[in-house]
Amino acid sequence: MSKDQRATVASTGPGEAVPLPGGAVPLLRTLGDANAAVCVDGFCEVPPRQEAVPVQEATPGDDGSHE
Amino acid sequence: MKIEIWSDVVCPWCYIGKRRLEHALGEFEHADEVEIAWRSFQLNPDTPPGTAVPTKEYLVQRFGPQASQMTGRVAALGRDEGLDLNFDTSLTVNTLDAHRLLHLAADLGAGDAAKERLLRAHFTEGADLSDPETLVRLAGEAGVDSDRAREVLAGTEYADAVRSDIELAQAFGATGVPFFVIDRRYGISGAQPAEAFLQALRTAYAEETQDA
Repeated sequence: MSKDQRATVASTGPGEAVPLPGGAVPLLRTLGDANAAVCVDGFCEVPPRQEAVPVQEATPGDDGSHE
Repeated sequence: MKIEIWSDVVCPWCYIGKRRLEHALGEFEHADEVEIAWRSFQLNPDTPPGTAVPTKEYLVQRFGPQASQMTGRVAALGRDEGLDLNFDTSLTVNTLDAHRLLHLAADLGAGDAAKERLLRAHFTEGADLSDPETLVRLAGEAGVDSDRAREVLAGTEYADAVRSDIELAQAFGATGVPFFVIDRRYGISGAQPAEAFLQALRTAYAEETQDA
Protein backbone atom coordinates (compact mmCIF):
# COMPACT_ATOMS: atom_id res chain seq x y z
CA MET A 1 0.00 0.00 0.00
CA SER A 2 1.34 3.36 -0.86
CA LYS A 3 1.69 5.90 1.85
CA ASP A 4 -1.13 8.03 0.51
CA GLN A 5 -3.50 5.07 0.81
CA ARG A 6 -3.00 4.80 4.52
CA ALA A 7 -5.51 6.10 6.97
CA THR A 8 -5.05 9.65 7.89
CA VAL A 9 -6.15 11.02 11.18
CA ALA A 10 -7.38 14.48 11.88
CA SER A 11 -4.89 14.92 14.58
CA THR A 12 -2.42 17.01 16.38
CA GLY A 13 1.15 16.07 16.76
CA PRO A 14 2.93 16.96 19.95
CA GLY A 15 2.34 20.65 20.50
CA GLU A 16 0.45 21.13 17.25
CA ALA A 17 -3.14 22.06 16.64
CA VAL A 18 -4.77 21.29 13.30
CA PRO A 19 -8.40 22.40 13.04
CA LEU A 20 -10.89 19.95 11.58
CA PRO A 21 -13.22 21.01 8.78
CA GLY A 22 -16.45 22.08 10.40
CA GLY A 23 -15.02 21.56 13.85
CA ALA A 24 -17.76 19.06 14.66
CA VAL A 25 -15.52 16.61 16.45
CA PRO A 26 -12.65 17.16 18.83
CA LEU A 27 -9.09 17.20 17.69
CA LEU A 28 -7.26 13.98 18.27
CA ARG A 29 -3.70 13.65 19.30
CA THR A 30 -2.11 10.79 17.41
CA LEU A 31 -0.55 8.00 19.40
CA GLY A 32 1.22 4.89 18.16
CA ASP A 33 2.94 4.17 14.88
CA ALA A 34 1.54 6.32 12.08
CA ASN A 35 2.42 3.61 9.56
CA ALA A 36 0.58 0.73 11.21
CA ALA A 37 -1.44 -1.54 8.96
CA VAL A 38 -4.94 -0.53 7.93
CA CYS A 39 -7.50 -1.65 5.39
CA VAL A 40 -8.47 1.12 3.01
CA ASP A 41 -11.31 0.66 0.54
CA GLY A 42 -10.99 -3.11 0.76
CA PHE A 43 -7.23 -3.15 0.33
CA CYS A 44 -5.30 -4.57 3.28
CA GLU A 45 -1.63 -4.55 2.43
CA VAL A 46 1.14 -5.29 4.87
CA PRO A 47 3.42 -2.37 5.72
CA PRO A 48 6.88 -3.29 4.41
CA ARG A 49 8.57 -3.36 7.78
CA GLN A 50 5.99 -5.77 9.21
CA GLU A 51 6.73 -8.35 6.58
CA ALA A 52 8.75 -11.31 7.70
CA VAL A 53 12.39 -10.88 6.83
CA PRO A 54 14.02 -14.17 5.84
CA VAL A 55 16.72 -15.11 8.30
CA GLN A 56 20.03 -15.68 6.63
CA GLU A 57 22.88 -17.35 8.32
CA ALA A 58 25.88 -15.14 8.56
CA THR A 59 28.89 -16.44 6.77
CA PRO A 60 32.44 -15.30 7.22
CA GLY A 61 33.05 -12.19 5.25
CA ASP A 62 29.40 -11.03 5.20
CA ASP A 63 30.34 -7.95 7.10
CA GLY A 64 33.17 -7.22 4.77
CA SER A 65 35.78 -8.37 7.18
CA HIS A 66 38.31 -10.98 6.22
CA GLU A 67 40.04 -12.44 9.15
CA MET B 1 -11.12 5.29 29.87
CA LYS B 2 -13.28 4.60 26.82
CA ILE B 3 -11.82 3.13 23.66
CA GLU B 4 -13.98 3.42 20.57
CA ILE B 5 -12.92 1.09 17.79
CA TRP B 6 -14.01 1.56 14.21
CA SER B 7 -13.72 -1.66 12.27
CA ASP B 8 -15.40 -3.93 9.76
CA VAL B 9 -16.06 -7.63 10.27
CA VAL B 10 -14.40 -8.42 6.93
CA CYS B 11 -11.24 -6.46 7.75
CA PRO B 12 -8.27 -8.69 8.56
CA TRP B 13 -6.25 -5.91 10.14
CA CYS B 14 -9.21 -5.21 12.41
CA TYR B 15 -9.12 -8.81 13.64
CA ILE B 16 -5.36 -8.70 14.08
CA GLY B 17 -5.59 -5.30 15.74
CA LYS B 18 -8.26 -6.59 18.12
CA ARG B 19 -5.95 -9.38 19.26
CA ARG B 20 -3.01 -7.05 19.67
CA LEU B 21 -5.07 -4.59 21.70
CA GLU B 22 -6.27 -7.48 23.88
CA HIS B 23 -2.67 -8.48 24.49
CA ALA B 24 -1.86 -4.90 25.42
CA LEU B 25 -4.83 -4.70 27.77
CA GLY B 26 -3.59 -7.89 29.41
CA GLU B 27 -0.48 -5.95 30.40
CA PHE B 28 -2.13 -2.59 31.10
CA GLU B 29 -2.24 -1.77 34.80
CA HIS B 30 -5.61 -0.01 34.53
CA ALA B 31 -7.40 -2.40 32.20
CA ASP B 32 -10.28 -2.68 34.67
CA GLU B 33 -11.06 0.99 33.97
CA VAL B 34 -11.27 0.48 30.21
CA GLU B 35 -14.56 0.34 28.36
CA ILE B 36 -14.62 -0.81 24.73
CA ALA B 37 -17.21 0.48 22.25
CA TRP B 38 -17.33 -1.02 18.76
CA ARG B 39 -18.10 1.41 15.96
CA SER B 40 -19.17 0.52 12.45
CA PHE B 41 -17.16 0.99 9.30
CA GLN B 42 -17.80 -0.57 5.91
CA LEU B 43 -14.86 -1.39 3.68
CA ASN B 44 -17.04 -2.51 0.79
CA PRO B 45 -20.26 -0.50 1.10
CA ASP B 46 -21.00 -0.81 -2.61
CA THR B 47 -21.22 -4.60 -2.51
CA PRO B 48 -24.86 -5.40 -3.37
CA PRO B 49 -26.79 -6.58 -0.30
CA GLY B 50 -27.58 -10.27 -0.30
CA THR B 51 -24.66 -11.27 -2.49
CA ALA B 52 -21.58 -13.17 -1.39
CA VAL B 53 -18.48 -13.25 -3.56
CA PRO B 54 -15.42 -15.37 -2.73
CA THR B 55 -12.97 -12.90 -1.23
CA LYS B 56 -10.04 -14.04 -3.35
CA GLU B 57 -12.08 -13.57 -6.52
CA TYR B 58 -13.28 -10.17 -5.33
CA LEU B 59 -9.78 -8.98 -4.48
CA VAL B 60 -8.26 -10.15 -7.76
CA GLN B 61 -11.03 -8.38 -9.68
CA ARG B 62 -10.38 -5.15 -7.79
CA PHE B 63 -6.65 -5.19 -7.29
CA GLY B 64 -5.22 -7.71 -9.74
CA PRO B 65 -2.75 -10.53 -9.14
CA GLN B 66 -1.06 -8.72 -6.24
CA ALA B 67 -4.15 -9.57 -4.18
CA SER B 68 -2.97 -13.15 -3.68
CA GLN B 69 0.36 -11.99 -2.34
CA MET B 70 -1.43 -9.55 -0.07
CA THR B 71 -3.69 -12.20 1.45
CA GLY B 72 -0.77 -14.58 1.92
CA ARG B 73 1.21 -11.99 3.84
CA VAL B 74 -1.74 -10.91 5.97
CA ALA B 75 -2.60 -14.53 6.76
CA ALA B 76 0.98 -15.16 7.87
CA LEU B 77 0.84 -12.22 10.26
CA GLY B 78 -2.54 -13.42 11.50
CA ARG B 79 -0.99 -16.75 12.42
CA ASP B 80 1.47 -14.87 14.60
CA GLU B 81 -1.54 -13.70 16.63
CA GLY B 82 -3.08 -17.18 16.76
CA LEU B 83 -5.66 -16.35 14.09
CA ASP B 84 -6.64 -18.59 11.20
CA LEU B 85 -7.40 -16.14 8.40
CA ASN B 86 -8.61 -18.34 5.59
CA PHE B 87 -8.96 -16.21 2.48
CA ASP B 88 -9.65 -19.33 0.40
CA THR B 89 -13.07 -19.76 1.97
CA SER B 90 -14.04 -16.27 3.13
CA LEU B 91 -16.87 -14.42 1.40
CA THR B 92 -17.00 -10.70 0.67
CA VAL B 93 -20.41 -9.24 1.45
CA ASN B 94 -22.13 -6.00 2.26
CA THR B 95 -21.73 -5.81 6.04
CA LEU B 96 -24.52 -3.35 6.81
CA ASP B 97 -26.76 -6.02 8.37
CA ALA B 98 -23.85 -7.45 10.35
CA HIS B 99 -23.17 -4.00 11.77
CA ARG B 100 -26.83 -3.44 12.60
CA LEU B 101 -26.74 -6.70 14.51
CA LEU B 102 -23.57 -5.64 16.32
CA HIS B 103 -25.34 -2.50 17.50
CA LEU B 104 -28.18 -4.64 18.83
CA ALA B 105 -25.66 -6.89 20.55
CA ALA B 106 -23.97 -3.89 22.14
CA ASP B 107 -27.30 -2.67 23.47
CA LEU B 108 -27.78 -6.10 25.04
CA GLY B 109 -24.32 -6.15 26.58
CA ALA B 110 -22.95 -8.68 24.10
CA GLY B 111 -21.08 -6.36 21.77
CA ASP B 112 -17.62 -7.79 22.23
CA ALA B 113 -18.77 -11.40 22.09
CA ALA B 114 -20.74 -10.74 18.92
CA LYS B 115 -17.84 -8.92 17.30
CA GLU B 116 -15.48 -11.79 18.01
CA ARG B 117 -18.02 -14.35 16.80
CA LEU B 118 -18.61 -12.58 13.49
CA LEU B 119 -14.90 -12.10 12.84
CA ARG B 120 -14.17 -15.78 13.44
CA ALA B 121 -17.16 -16.83 11.36
CA HIS B 122 -16.00 -14.74 8.42
CA PHE B 123 -12.28 -15.39 8.50
CA THR B 124 -12.06 -18.93 9.79
CA GLU B 125 -15.37 -20.58 9.03
CA GLY B 126 -16.21 -19.02 5.66
CA ALA B 127 -19.62 -17.90 6.89
CA ASP B 128 -21.85 -15.76 4.70
CA LEU B 129 -22.42 -12.67 6.82
CA SER B 130 -25.05 -11.39 4.39
CA ASP B 131 -27.34 -14.33 5.16
CA PRO B 132 -29.91 -13.37 7.82
CA GLU B 133 -30.22 -16.83 9.35
CA THR B 134 -26.45 -17.14 9.59
CA LEU B 135 -26.33 -13.80 11.39
CA VAL B 136 -29.14 -14.85 13.73
CA ARG B 137 -27.30 -18.08 14.57
CA LEU B 138 -24.00 -16.32 15.20
CA ALA B 139 -25.62 -13.60 17.28
CA GLY B 140 -27.40 -16.28 19.28
CA GLU B 141 -24.08 -17.97 19.99
CA ALA B 142 -22.87 -14.62 21.33
CA GLY B 143 -25.83 -14.32 23.65
CA VAL B 144 -28.25 -12.25 21.56
CA ASP B 145 -31.90 -13.27 21.60
CA SER B 146 -32.66 -14.88 18.23
CA ASP B 147 -36.17 -13.52 17.89
CA ARG B 148 -34.93 -9.99 18.55
CA ALA B 149 -32.09 -10.47 16.06
CA ARG B 150 -34.57 -11.64 13.40
CA GLU B 151 -36.78 -8.67 14.14
CA VAL B 152 -33.90 -6.23 13.66
CA LEU B 153 -32.68 -7.90 10.48
CA ALA B 154 -36.17 -7.87 8.99
CA GLY B 155 -36.34 -4.08 9.25
CA THR B 156 -33.98 -1.14 9.16
CA GLU B 157 -33.31 -0.75 12.87
CA TYR B 158 -29.81 0.52 13.74
CA ALA B 159 -29.10 1.54 10.14
CA ASP B 160 -28.92 5.13 11.32
CA ALA B 161 -26.46 4.15 14.03
CA VAL B 162 -24.23 2.47 11.45
CA ARG B 163 -24.31 5.52 9.20
CA SER B 164 -23.65 7.79 12.15
CA ASP B 165 -20.57 5.76 13.11
CA ILE B 166 -19.20 5.94 9.59
CA GLU B 167 -19.78 9.68 9.40
CA LEU B 168 -18.04 10.17 12.73
CA ALA B 169 -15.03 8.21 11.54
CA GLN B 170 -14.89 10.40 8.46
CA ALA B 171 -15.17 13.50 10.63
CA PHE B 172 -12.21 12.26 12.64
CA GLY B 173 -10.34 11.92 9.35
CA ALA B 174 -10.12 8.14 9.35
CA THR B 175 -10.04 6.67 5.88
CA GLY B 176 -9.22 3.14 6.90
CA VAL B 177 -9.64 0.68 9.72
CA PRO B 178 -9.01 -0.34 12.40
CA PHE B 179 -9.16 3.07 13.98
CA PHE B 180 -9.07 3.59 17.72
CA VAL B 181 -10.09 6.68 19.69
CA ILE B 182 -9.44 7.02 23.40
CA ASP B 183 -11.80 9.33 25.27
CA ARG B 184 -12.26 11.40 22.12
CA ARG B 185 -8.80 12.84 22.77
CA TYR B 186 -6.33 10.38 21.27
CA GLY B 187 -6.37 8.70 17.88
CA ILE B 188 -4.59 5.48 17.03
CA SER B 189 -4.68 4.28 13.45
CA GLY B 190 -4.06 0.72 12.36
CA ALA B 191 -3.17 -2.64 13.82
CA GLN B 192 -0.38 -1.44 16.05
CA PRO B 193 2.01 -3.91 17.64
CA ALA B 194 0.81 -4.80 21.16
CA GLU B 195 3.74 -2.87 22.63
CA ALA B 196 2.66 0.29 20.79
CA PHE B 197 -0.91 -0.13 22.03
CA LEU B 198 0.34 -0.56 25.56
CA GLN B 199 2.51 2.52 25.35
CA ALA B 200 -0.39 4.53 23.94
CA LEU B 201 -2.70 3.36 26.73
CA ARG B 202 -0.14 4.30 29.37
CA THR B 203 0.48 7.70 27.80
CA ALA B 204 -3.23 8.48 27.55
CA TYR B 205 -3.89 7.31 31.10
CA ALA B 206 -0.99 9.26 32.57
CA GLU B 207 -1.94 12.47 30.79
CA GLU B 208 -5.61 12.20 31.64
CA THR B 209 -4.84 11.44 35.26
CA GLN B 210 -2.58 14.48 35.36
CA ASP B 211 -5.29 16.67 33.82
CA ALA B 212 -7.98 15.46 36.23
